[in-house]
Amino acid sequence: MIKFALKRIALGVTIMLGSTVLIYALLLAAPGGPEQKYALNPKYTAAQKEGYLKSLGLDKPVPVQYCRWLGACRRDSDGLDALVGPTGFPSFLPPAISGVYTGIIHGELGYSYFNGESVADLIAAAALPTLILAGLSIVIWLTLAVLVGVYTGVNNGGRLDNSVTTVTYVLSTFPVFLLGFLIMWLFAIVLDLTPVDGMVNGRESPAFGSDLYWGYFSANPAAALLDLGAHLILPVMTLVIVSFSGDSRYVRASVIDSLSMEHVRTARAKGLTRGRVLMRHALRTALVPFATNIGLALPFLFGGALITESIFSWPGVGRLTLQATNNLDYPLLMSILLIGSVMVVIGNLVADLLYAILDPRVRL
Amino acid sequence: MSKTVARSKSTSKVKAKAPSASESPWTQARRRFFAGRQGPWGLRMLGFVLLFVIVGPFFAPYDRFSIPNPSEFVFLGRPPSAEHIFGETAQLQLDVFMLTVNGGRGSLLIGFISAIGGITIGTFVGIISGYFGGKLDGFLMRLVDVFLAIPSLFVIIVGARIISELGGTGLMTVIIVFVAFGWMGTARLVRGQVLGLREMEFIEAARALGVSPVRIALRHVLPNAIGPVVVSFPFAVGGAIIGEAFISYLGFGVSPLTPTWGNMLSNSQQFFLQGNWWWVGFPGLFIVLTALSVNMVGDALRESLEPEGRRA
Repeated sequence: MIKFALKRIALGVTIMLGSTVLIYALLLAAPGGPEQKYALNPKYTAAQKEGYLKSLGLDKPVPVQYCRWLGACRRDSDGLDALVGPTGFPSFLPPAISGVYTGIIHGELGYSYFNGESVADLIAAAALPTLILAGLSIVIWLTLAVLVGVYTGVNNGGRLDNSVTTVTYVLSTFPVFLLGFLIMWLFAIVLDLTPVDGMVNGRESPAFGSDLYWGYFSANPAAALLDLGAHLILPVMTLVIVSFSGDSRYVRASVIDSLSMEHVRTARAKGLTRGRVLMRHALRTALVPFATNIGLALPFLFGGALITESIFSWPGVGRLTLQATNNLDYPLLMSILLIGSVMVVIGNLVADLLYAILDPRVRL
Repeated sequence: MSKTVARSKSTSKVKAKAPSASESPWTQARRRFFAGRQGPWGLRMLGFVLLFVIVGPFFAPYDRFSIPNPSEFVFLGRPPSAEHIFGETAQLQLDVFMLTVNGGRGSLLIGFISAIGGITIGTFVGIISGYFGGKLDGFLMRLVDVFLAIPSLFVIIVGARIISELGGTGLMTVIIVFVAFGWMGTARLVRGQVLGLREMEFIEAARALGVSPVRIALRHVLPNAIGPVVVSFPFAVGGAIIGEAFISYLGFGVSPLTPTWGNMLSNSQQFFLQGNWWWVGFPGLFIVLTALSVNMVGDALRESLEPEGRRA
């Protein structure tokens, strides 16, 4: 088990390195750079542009740039000696040993080309709203998926199963943004029950995440929470409806499968009650593959709600990504993509390990 | 709720007749496909969409430089009427029927070409990887891992943005991005199939006869590994159509000069909340209809090609 985990972690690190290369190559292929924001200024000379690029280190060859961004090279040297830190150890080792503090492996994500803010700060500010939205949605949708999936699977072929299965089937093909529109139009415009978009009521509360907001929050927590809750309803509803339908169909299929397995037939044959057969024997096998899916939900917590966030103007990672993409803000984009792929790799690892723990047939 | 009502809804309930000895697996699969309900209905819906998209433009040709000049200007557009059966858009008051009919061409082209491209590359990589094995296999599968590790949504947006910056805002942009990030699943699937087939006796026999490796891979391995690929095709089409709609909605996809269902949704969003439902509704309806029909065909294909497989 531990050997397997270590092997998977080593593989994960390799994949991560590979994806940094891919991300870097992708963004290098992009035209326009940080100098682009001065492009319309007629007084901006070529010499100034060159100096600006030089100050950012963008005049160096691509491998050097990549190495510096990664943190395996020092920024103050061009030659091969950049690979070795001031203490004499290789630069990619932790700062305490190598004496090198720059680059993403040392936790320095760089600065936005667009407004010069620290990328780490920008992402941290956007991560909390996304975590709130995605976390709440995941909890609700997984619960619903299990409940509906088990119910329809057990009552396979019943009238309710048929209608629920048809509805979830249609919903699972629905594009998120279309559903988001419909929900927003119905609940916020026609019925006028909820706020249309945003995260807080701008008339009463400061912008979410600012110092003022936390002051407001501690002054009257009940009102702040109520406001946040009202703004959460529509985006959470959109995410839950879209995602739960696919998962509930998945649970339904595996419940139907497991009900026809031999050990369940045995359990029935020896006269166990219906409920006991279901809870102790059928559902245990049926829900194992689903439980492992929870590991796969990890990347979702970081950036899965991209479309929903953009529809409902939710100030999260999804919106940050769209802004960064619009501005071709490479340091920010690369960090977001990188954190996203770290989440995917960790999520897959968690899924594999969960599978090994939950399914007694899997021995590692 | 009565338990006796067990009307069969899906093809999983329809038991195929005992296969006669002379029937090939493909013939059996075809019979199972048409014996069900999901498959034929999916095909019918898809046929309707295709007919609409192919025949429609003859009745309502699209000219990107012609703008209607109505006697009375209604900023929000007019709802469906006898003259404009899908209504008019806000702002320029274009005919929504004309846009929907012509937009379908773009959306369906993107869906089918991206799916064909991605699946072709994926099959190719999967066969090479699975059949030749060794270091090449290791390298290709790590490549697949790397591509899968980056959240596809992000990459597709960034990729589309980059290509649009380079000057392409047509259908090709979107197709290139979808193909570039749409081959990994198929590659893994095919590799898994090939790994199993490689050790089978008929492959060994072919090898013993001195058949060249390339010929074995193409003539003997490929036809036997293609089942799951066929199943994944409709889902890839649906995924690409929805994906296009999504990135066009965000403004990184096809430019509005070439109408697609996706970029129609992008422009109409702000007017929807003011009451113009038809500009969003009709392209949206066709996106859902297409995605639903290809998924139904895909599910029915899975059930008829893999009768022992999971039934969803």
